[in-house]
Amino acid sequence: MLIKLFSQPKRVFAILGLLAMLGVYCGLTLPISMYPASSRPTVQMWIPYANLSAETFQQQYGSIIEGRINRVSNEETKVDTIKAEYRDSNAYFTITFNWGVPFDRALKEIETVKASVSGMLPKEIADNIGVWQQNRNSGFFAASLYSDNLSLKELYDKVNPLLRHHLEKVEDAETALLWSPEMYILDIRLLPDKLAQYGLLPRHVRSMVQESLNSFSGAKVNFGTSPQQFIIEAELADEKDLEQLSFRLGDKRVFLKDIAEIQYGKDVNRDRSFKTDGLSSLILFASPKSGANVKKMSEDIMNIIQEKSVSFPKGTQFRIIVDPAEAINKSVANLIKDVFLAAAMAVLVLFIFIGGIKNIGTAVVEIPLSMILSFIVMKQTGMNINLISLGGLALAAGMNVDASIVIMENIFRHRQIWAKAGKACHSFSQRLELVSSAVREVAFPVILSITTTLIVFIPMALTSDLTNAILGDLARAVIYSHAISALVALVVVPIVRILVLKYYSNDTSALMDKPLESLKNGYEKILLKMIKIKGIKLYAIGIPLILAFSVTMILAPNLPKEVIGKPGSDWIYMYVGAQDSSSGRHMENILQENESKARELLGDRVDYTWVQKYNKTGGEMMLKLFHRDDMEEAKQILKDNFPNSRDRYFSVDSWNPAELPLPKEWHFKATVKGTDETEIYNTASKLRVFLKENDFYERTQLDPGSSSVYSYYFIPYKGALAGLKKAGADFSFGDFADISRLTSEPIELGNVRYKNTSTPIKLSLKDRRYNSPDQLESYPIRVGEKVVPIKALGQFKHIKKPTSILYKDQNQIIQVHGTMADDKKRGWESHLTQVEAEVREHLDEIITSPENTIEFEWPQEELKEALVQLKTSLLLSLALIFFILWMQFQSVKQVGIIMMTVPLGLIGVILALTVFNSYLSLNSALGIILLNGITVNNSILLTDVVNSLKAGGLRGSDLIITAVNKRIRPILITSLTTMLGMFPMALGLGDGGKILQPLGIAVTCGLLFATTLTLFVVPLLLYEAEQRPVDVESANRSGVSKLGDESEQVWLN
Amino acid sequence: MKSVLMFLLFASFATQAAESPKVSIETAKIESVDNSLNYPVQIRSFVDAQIKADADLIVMKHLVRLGQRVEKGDPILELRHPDLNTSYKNRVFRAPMPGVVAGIHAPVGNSVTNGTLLVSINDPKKVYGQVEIPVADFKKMKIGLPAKLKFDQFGVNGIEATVAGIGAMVDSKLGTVPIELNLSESVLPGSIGMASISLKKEDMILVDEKVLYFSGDDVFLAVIEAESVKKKKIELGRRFKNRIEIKTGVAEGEIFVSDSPKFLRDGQKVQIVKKDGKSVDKTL
Repeated sequence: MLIKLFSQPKRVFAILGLLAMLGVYCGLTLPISMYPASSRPTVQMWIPYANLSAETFQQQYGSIIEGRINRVSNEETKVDTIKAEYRDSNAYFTITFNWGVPFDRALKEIETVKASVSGMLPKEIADNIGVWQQNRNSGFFAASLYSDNLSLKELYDKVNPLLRHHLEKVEDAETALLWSPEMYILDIRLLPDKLAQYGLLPRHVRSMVQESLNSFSGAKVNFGTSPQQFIIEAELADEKDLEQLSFRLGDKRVFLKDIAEIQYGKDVNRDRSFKTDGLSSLILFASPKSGANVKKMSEDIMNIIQEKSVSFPKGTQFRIIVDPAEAINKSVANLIKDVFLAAAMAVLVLFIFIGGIKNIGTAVVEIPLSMILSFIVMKQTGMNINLISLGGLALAAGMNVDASIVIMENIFRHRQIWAKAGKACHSFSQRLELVSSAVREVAFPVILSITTTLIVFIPMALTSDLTNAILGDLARAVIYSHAISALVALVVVPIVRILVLKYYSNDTSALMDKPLESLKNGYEKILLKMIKIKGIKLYAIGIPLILAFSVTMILAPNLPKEVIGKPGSDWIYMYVGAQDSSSGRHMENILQENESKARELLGDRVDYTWVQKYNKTGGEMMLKLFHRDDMEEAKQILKDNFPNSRDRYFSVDSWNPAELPLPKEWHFKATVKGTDETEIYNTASKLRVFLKENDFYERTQLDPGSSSVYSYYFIPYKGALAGLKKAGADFSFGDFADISRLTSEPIELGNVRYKNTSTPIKLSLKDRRYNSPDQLESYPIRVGEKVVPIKALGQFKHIKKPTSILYKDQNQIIQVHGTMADDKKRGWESHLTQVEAEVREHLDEIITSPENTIEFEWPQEELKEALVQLKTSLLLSLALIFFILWMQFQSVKQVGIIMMTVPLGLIGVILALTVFNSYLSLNSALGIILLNGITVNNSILLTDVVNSLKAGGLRGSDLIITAVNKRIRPILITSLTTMLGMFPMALGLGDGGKILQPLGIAVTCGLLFATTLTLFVVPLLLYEAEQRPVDVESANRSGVSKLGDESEQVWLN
Repeated sequence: MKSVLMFLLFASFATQAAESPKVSIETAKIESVDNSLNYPVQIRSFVDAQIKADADLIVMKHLVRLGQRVEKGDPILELRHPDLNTSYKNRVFRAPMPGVVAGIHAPVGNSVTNGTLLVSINDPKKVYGQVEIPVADFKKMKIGLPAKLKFDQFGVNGIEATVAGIGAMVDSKLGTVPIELNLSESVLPGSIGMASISLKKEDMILVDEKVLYFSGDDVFLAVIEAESVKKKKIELGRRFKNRIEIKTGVAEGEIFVSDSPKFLRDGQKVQIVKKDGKSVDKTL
């Protein structure tokens, strides 16, 4: 079949040309996202209470809704945890599904729950339920805009109209908008005394305002995954329009201005703020649609900003905070660089060993071809381009060269044999015959080598959960491009050689000819001596196995572990927590102080800073460095000068938007279970205190979390409502809820068009004294002729009670987590054992109810599971390799010899990771798996040629020496090209260098070790397996050690 | 040898001291705290006459203006029988007592029925404050207690008052008891404001919330005792902004940790750097 193909080069090139064009098209149209899905599918549903209190809502509907959500869990859509949070105005349900549940399926299930609960809820609640999918993996775009001569409002009012419509039209964006942390609202501040005078309650005002404004909404239309709602808003000329709203009370008309003050101004409850270099900033934020091209989204937005920036007000500046296109472009550039590097390495090594630029120049084209053709398969299988799959293609670039090299080398070797024998090689048919015979000779081992390399990846492509999330795309990218490299090696390379062979000159020599000759001579002498050692077989098997066992049992467990490395970065991220902050303004001041201090300490290293306040007790600072080389020093300076205390918590780390979002890395995890939610909380709290008192962890937290601020709960007296009714008052529990809620946050009534902008209207209490409970207790309520304080009707209890509930397997739980400081986390596993023992010893003091239990869980369950899966993949791949090899060689002994390279590679990997202080991570584990496939290839080449020579009549040491003579050059070439191709990865160069560095170290050093030993161990074992006693004695008597056929020493012409 | 021993001793001591966290301490002091209870207050007039129709009538004439001062017997309204065929004389309704016309509720020409409110008369100069207090606070009330009134709607603040009368019956529907306040200046009847009634000052120990250690339902204070930290379980009382009353568990004069760089445990040695806000150079 091959000869048929080779004899029609034009047809083959035409087909390949078309395929290459298709490949380019597929590559350009593959969806692009930042990452594969490296987290479990998570969906959130939020439900507003309307005029119910949190307690009422939870009592009446909470358990029913939680029950409906729990029922979603089945074989196909297994739910891991459900978190129910009952906050002031809304209930939030966060549902985390298990790995492997498709994202769109997860969303659909919760949409179904939403439809089912809508039926039982009041209309004003049901109409406003929201469902949203949390997706940390698609990446996002963020830029800040600021001005030193305009206020934030002025800047927003001028810039937003320029950008809004264009941003809405960005095709790949789910959300793209300019957001101002300052929101201007129409604030209706109720005067409680006046309300009491008229016997009115907040809900009367709410209804009056909502009805009077005549806002109405059109239909809900689904675009993609999110429903879009058409709203036509009422319009107000000024605040007086609102003030004139009125309602009748008996024969009187009460105007809104009689019972409230109306002001247009900043929403003081909107707690977020952003600052760039100390200047208040707007944020342009965009997130992509599911499955969309995030790179294109990013580029479209950048184009809009560039285009419109000429019309921005004078003095407006913008800074790009996160640009996913940049990360992806860097990764693509890295890939292209790696492909060309691999090609250049191949060319260089081939030139050194074979010589003649003309002979090898086309390798530069052949090598990228396998990558381009692999895009076709990626498109067909629904893959996308992300940082991981690009990494896989970059990894494969080095490996794809090998098969082509073996084919090329053998063709040249045959050419030389023909030249020596005086055989002509001018006509097409002669060249065809030469190439076909050369290819036939090595086709089997080439196919077998590629198969074994692919086999090691197949189990990985079938893994689940975190392993598949992180490595699945990488494995698939490698499989596709490496499989296609077989096509390139067996079809393209021979056909090109057929065409160019006629241009070969006859007297070219390679640079490595003489050194290689000396090397071979020395090697063969050593090999011959070793063959004669008594019991060499035992040493050849025993020593590698003992070494492999020792490093696995002694060194490997002490290697530090991580899921995956982090890319280099020029952003420092610092979280600031301030328990002593009393307000949003206070927190802003704290952030400002710390920003100034950080800038002073870091001096010229900092390009600019970006600060975000989350709420009154927390915020973050991001400092962009000019040079990423300053990162480690800068981080250390900040860590030394911002120590943690009881009130202040600082966390400093580097941040790169190209980091894979991964499950959180804990160093302690325990689950508290029980039947009473208060007791569960108490036990969890005591456990946390125990950990803190003993300083076991730098940080401990509860999930669901709880702050140290008490919550106020109004508990009406029994019969209070009935008494009110008898006294003629129209009062309900919802009215209590409204009043309590109004003291902490305003109630949103809707939007209205005001000053050409959609402006929210909010209801609040004018009198700020109602913020404290002892004042709140005096809120006036009119009952007939009397005005009574609300505390006559019930009690405000100051309770430290969690308002969030976490369910796992339908049981209510609280989890306690601990994390160690960076400089201490290496020994976390042994530390964990001690901590768990201490906790067990003090269980009596910690557990507050006999119904409660504390279960310790492995804190990095997902990493552990991932490593177990990889171990399984490794063993499975070894088993598959064994089976495939056995099917081909039909000899268990020979297969065993071939697979001796596996422990040799393992020794090299673990030694290298230990010496270079690198991590045992998913990538280094991948390197071990990959290495097995590569090292086996060298043994396959040797074993195959031994069998051929044996069939030709050679035996004993002659057999072995001739075999190594024939195959040492391709073994050295392929090993060198792979090692040199992986070397930059081992150095951790490039943007994502640190991520793949353990992989590079594993393969480079492992291959070096394995190749060196393979050249001795495998020939020795093959000798022992093929040895007949008569051959050894006759060889010794003749004193001849054959070094192989002289004619085969001349490689090139 | 001796110097070596001394060095070793010092070294271990210094190491221990180096490990002890540096803390600030405060002395628990009893403070007299203004104790006041807050309630909505409604201003009423001692004069609160409501002139109502005693039959079905038609309002023919208003004989007074709103705000007009009237004496007892002054004509207020003129009404007549609704049946025009009758020849009854118009009836004049008169002020039952001196006061000010506070409201005219029946426009001229209106038909009114028996019991309809026609005119209210009060005396804005003779007013008192009515407060409905919850039964739970009844025992704290005493005649003569001072109070301060605030009326946000007028922007009026700090009107002095005293408790002048305490009701003797509970309104069973509302669970409240009425009390009366004497005002130092008059306020328009019908106004609603806030009354802050000062009770006797209470002595209590107050601490900042951030010095407390919470563990489940229990609250602790890190007291310094016998040269180390002892966490004492305490009971909390009322809150006064960021400060909380300690009802039981800690006595006056005990010293406690007000600031520390880390979470302290029972029995831990500490290094005091500040006491009651002043720097200290003392190691425990």
